[in-house]
Amino acid sequence: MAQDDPFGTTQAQKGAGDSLEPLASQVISVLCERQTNSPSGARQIVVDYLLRAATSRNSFDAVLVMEELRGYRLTIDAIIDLYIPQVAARMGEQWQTSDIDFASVTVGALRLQALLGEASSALAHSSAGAHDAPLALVVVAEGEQHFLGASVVAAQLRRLGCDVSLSIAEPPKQITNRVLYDQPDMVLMSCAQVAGLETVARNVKKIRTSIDPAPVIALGGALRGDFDGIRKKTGVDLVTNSAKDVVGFYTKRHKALGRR
Amino acid sequence: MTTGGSSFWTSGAVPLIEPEFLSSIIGAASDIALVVSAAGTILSVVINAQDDSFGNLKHWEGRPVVEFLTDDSIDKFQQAHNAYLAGGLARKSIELNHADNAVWQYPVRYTFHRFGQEDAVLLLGRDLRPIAETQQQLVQAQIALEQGYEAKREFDARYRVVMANVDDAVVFVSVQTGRVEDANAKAATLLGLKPEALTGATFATLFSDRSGSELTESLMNSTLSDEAAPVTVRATRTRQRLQIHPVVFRAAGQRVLMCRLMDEAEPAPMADAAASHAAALFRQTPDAVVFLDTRGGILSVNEAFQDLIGAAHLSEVVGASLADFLTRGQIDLGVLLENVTRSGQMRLYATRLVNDLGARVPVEISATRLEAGDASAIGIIVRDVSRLEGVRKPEGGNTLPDPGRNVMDLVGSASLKDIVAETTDVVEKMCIETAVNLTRNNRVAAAEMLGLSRQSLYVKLRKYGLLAKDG
Repeated sequence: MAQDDPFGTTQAQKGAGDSLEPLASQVISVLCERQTNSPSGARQIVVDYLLRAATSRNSFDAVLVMEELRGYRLTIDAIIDLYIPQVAARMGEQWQTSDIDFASVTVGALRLQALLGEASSALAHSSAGAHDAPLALVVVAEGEQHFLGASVVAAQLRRLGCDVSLSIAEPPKQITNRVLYDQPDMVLMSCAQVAGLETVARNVKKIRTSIDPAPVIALGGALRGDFDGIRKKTGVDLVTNSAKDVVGFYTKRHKALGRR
Repeated sequence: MTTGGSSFWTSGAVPLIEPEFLSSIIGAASDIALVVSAAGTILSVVINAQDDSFGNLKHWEGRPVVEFLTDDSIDKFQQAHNAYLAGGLARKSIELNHADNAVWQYPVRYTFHRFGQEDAVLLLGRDLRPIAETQQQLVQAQIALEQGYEAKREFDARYRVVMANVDDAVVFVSVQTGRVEDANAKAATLLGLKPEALTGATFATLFSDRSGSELTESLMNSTLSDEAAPVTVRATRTRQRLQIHPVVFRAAGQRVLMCRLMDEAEPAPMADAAASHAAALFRQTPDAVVFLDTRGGILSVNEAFQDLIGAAHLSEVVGASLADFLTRGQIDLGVLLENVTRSGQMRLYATRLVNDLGARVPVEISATRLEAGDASAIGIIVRDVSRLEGVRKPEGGNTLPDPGRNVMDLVGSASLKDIVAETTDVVEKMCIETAVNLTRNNRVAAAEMLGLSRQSLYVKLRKYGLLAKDG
């Protein structure tokens, strides 16, 4: 058996082999870095694969796709934070350029949703039972069709140690009740269209008038343009698409004011 | 439409269609048709006369088309319209969402057509509302599913809280497979394992006095008897006598036993803090700890040892000979056992551990003979030196490993050609090991992953000693 080991045949060779390993590791890490060629840090080959899988006319098995992605040695964090949002954005772009129809976009988004469920199932129990974990309520308002982004944010918040509840298509009264009875530390609202901002503003006003001090209220989604203007218009504390920003904002306020 | 049809349309055989018929023909051929000027103003709206679901759209005429498009469709229309004005004719149809002061949007798939009038465009549209309705139903179904997942998550959280806080040690065991499906921390403590290590383990292997079928039979009998007498067993690791109180139930058609474990002896709090600390150390230490019988058979190992050799379950290790995991096999084990038998302990022995896939880890081993109670055993502590090297090296002050220094040490020690050749060998071996690992030793898939023929992969596996496992 020892003869099978190229590093174990002679003492001299063993020494050389051991000192070569760091160099080899360095070479491998350089090779790995070369594979990153999209500006966001995602490997293009993987994004292309996932896009094909999400928009394919063949059936889609989230478990198999997940295994394939793990074969590219991606972490669950990278799949949730990077690849699922990237592919969702790419599908939107392809609809804009009339390369795919809206039905394919919907089916693709639902497939990514299934993949997200598969990816986050491993993380589901991590924060359960931690009574001092901050509570976040993620709201997708009535009439909004897009909830993949909100689900991604919910998964990110769970990884950041928050206890998260997701409210999809619930009437404003129910959202206010949740805020009153569950007393979340953060409320994150998702909005995809400018037309939805009025609903957001109404919900924010209701939350602020029903509980004092109000939780941190953040707005995210496929919004473009003047974030500061949107913040003022809707009355939220911050407009962002980063779960980390919201938790950071909450932590700072929590330190300054003490927990509610 | 056939080629005959095309030539029919181009030959001038068709008489000019009267304007009063033309709009109804266009309306019937498409669901909605718009004539849009170069400035983007709607000159005419024609709707299929057989279908009144669009309502009256006469008020669109004379107004910019973008007033009746949703935000996400405005850019899309303008790009296609500009391309049309520049002389191109889009080959792709475009989907636009119309909105007209109503909550309900209606998606239409348009194609752009020239029709003779200067720069104006004829947009022939197909109503996509039937597809959109199906899409809505799909989205609603998914929303219901998501809400179901939320409810499940809540139940799951409650279950976890109960498991973590009850005083009972609880283990769920599948009757069919005899494996532990879930267990709480209290059960893990009684059995001398981490809760994660317990899940998936065969329940009977946790006890030294029952075989798998015997234990399941005893537990099932106990659930059937009126008195519900507990089953008494001895835990393999902690050597404690335990009582198992089983309850059988069905979950999704599968029979599952909920077993409450109780220490048969009265709990003796604080009686032996050192023993409980020793047990905790065994579970939590980063060094691998293994207990052997006097012939080198493995009695128990801690989590760190499983990590070191890459064993997913305790059952893969317990009962095997330690020689199976040492690079020099029986020779290594012989040296260890001889020294321990002769002098009671062995302070330091350097060798390599080998895992199932042939990867080798340099280790230092110390061994001690244990004379405890009825049987003697050998305790060994295995330290992974590959990690230790990283800690020992930077004594110079800089705590970060300096790859540049490694290269500096290397340059001059051999010719460039030799270094490159050896680096290639190392990289090649690492890649092959990784491929074999990733494909779970599927050589065809590994060869494909590496872009090698099966023959070449075989040659390289042999070269690097990675065939050793198969002999």
